[in-house]
Amino acid sequence: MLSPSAIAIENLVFRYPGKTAAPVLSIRHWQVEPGQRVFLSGPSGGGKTTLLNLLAGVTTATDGKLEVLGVELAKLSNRQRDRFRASHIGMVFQQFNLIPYLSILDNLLLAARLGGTSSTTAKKRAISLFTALGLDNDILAKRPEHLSTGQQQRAAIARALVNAPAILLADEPTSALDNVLRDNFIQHLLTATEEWNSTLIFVSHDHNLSHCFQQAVSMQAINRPETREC
Amino acid sequence: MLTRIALHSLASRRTTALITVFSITVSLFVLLGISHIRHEAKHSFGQAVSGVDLIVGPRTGQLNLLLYAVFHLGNATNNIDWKSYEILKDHPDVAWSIPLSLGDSHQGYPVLGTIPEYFHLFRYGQRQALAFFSGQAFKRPYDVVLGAEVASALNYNIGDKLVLAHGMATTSFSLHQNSPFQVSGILAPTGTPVDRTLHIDLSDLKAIHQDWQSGTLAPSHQHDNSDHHFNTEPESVTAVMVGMKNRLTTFNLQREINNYQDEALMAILPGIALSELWQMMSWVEKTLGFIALLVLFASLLGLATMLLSTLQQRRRETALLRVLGLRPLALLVLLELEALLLVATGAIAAISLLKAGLIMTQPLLSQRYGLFLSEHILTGHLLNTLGLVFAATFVIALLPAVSAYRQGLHSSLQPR
Repeated sequence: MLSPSAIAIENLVFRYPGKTAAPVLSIRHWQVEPGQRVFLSGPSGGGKTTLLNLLAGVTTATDGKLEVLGVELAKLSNRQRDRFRASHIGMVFQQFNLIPYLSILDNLLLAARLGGTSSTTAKKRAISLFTALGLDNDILAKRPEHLSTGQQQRAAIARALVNAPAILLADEPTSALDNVLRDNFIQHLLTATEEWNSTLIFVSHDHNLSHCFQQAVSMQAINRPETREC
Repeated sequence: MLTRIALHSLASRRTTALITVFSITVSLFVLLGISHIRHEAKHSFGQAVSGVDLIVGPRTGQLNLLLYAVFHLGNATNNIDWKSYEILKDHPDVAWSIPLSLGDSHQGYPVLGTIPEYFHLFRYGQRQALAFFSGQAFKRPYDVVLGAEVASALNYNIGDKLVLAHGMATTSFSLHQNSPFQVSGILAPTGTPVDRTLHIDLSDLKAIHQDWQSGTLAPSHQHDNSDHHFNTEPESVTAVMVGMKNRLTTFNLQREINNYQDEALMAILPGIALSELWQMMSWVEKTLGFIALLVLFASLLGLATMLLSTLQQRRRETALLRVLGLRPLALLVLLELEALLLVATGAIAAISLLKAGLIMTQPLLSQRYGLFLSEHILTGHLLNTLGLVFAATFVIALLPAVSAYRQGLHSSLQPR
């Protein structure tokens, strides 16, 4: 049996609720196969974040079909969607990836708990993730504010992967990093996703990074809100 | 897990959290304190006397008579003649009677002159009789029987000698120095005014006052008092406790006493007088309770305000928690947990303070005001009050909690 696509989109439309204006997002067809690492670029306001919200199931589409791992998110209840996201989708943002008043370990355990991973498994994973990410185990006990930005972002990858999610969504995760840290971060991100066999959607406006990924997609190429209506 | 998050979240806002806890502590202290004192005072008043059908004294206010005859508080303005007592004692309807004479004190504790029968006739609480912790009733001249609190507070034992003071002041300049009393017995604790009373025989009371004229010791009589101890039938007593042969005749006797021609007498029913006393105090207590409730309401609103004001800071945190898969309802629970944790902390602090305060003020309250407040405050009554406080907290905290829920519901990945 063929495993379902990681992401499959058909005629997806998203409008802000209550607004009759043109849709923010309109994608005829887009598909990502499991294990692929995709670089998604586009100008700000191009619908990247909206797409990520939809993929993560934080918002649902106005119209059309969106399947993640073969599951149509719009058909799930709110609660099921929250559970689905917790266990199958990891996310890394530009900043504020960790609850500031919890230690790194507690952050990881919180994600694990919500994703249905036992704390023993989570601790084991945390240690191997930390090795892959070049992080010292000492920082597990620390709170985010005591970490450097680079360390925080890598700890965020560990938190995102603690449930071994099939999909990792990264939204401009390197914007707060300088060039050296950025290259180091991407290196670790790719190693870790490869090790965990996750599909990676890496969103950035920085085209210099695209060469690191198997596939580079521009938002303009898939999102055609203006042509949808004709 | 939510509790852990709530605890850490509060710890990260510890300054505002502490101020909120402090305000809750203060208001709960007042609320629980008033509620406890009310409860205990009512109990303590109700326990003070039992099985006495009538209290007879000179004509005065009903409460006045009750206060000095039962609680040994205040001063008797008048006495009743010994002859009147004897007529009363021999009345065919009267089963027993105890004469009471007040006016002297020892280190601020009232001295009660009475008859030895007092110790087996008097009843308190649920018709309990007095019991001796050690020793016995007075037998020899100048014997004194101490209430439990007097003995423990002043550290007296059987055989110790003590000197009574004339009048009720804590530091009296006129002492009955010529007639030292010897402790013959110590009563078991009762939780009533008996505990802080010294009991002596009426005839001894008469004897020590024999040389006193208009409140001072007559100069010619500065000699040993023991040779005075004969022919000591008292001239008057302060009040009389009466037990009826048949309780149905109580009202007849009361009317008879009130209409007694030879002396202005008055008879009261202790139960009715007690409830009247209680009613008089209840509006004070209700007002205080109402104020305490308002204070509590204000601090709970403060708590809600504090939590609401954190919601702005929490927007990113909320978004992140949602991304991790936390349900919006869990955010509501989280805020409620924080509110309840703050109130629980405040409640623990308030209860500890109250307990410490009661232990420290207990001697003073019982000595000055005849209030016996138990320091056991964790009664069902208090737990009920606390239950209501937590319910009120829950309702008021819904304000920020529902906002958090809505925030979670409309949260997107990264609010900027």
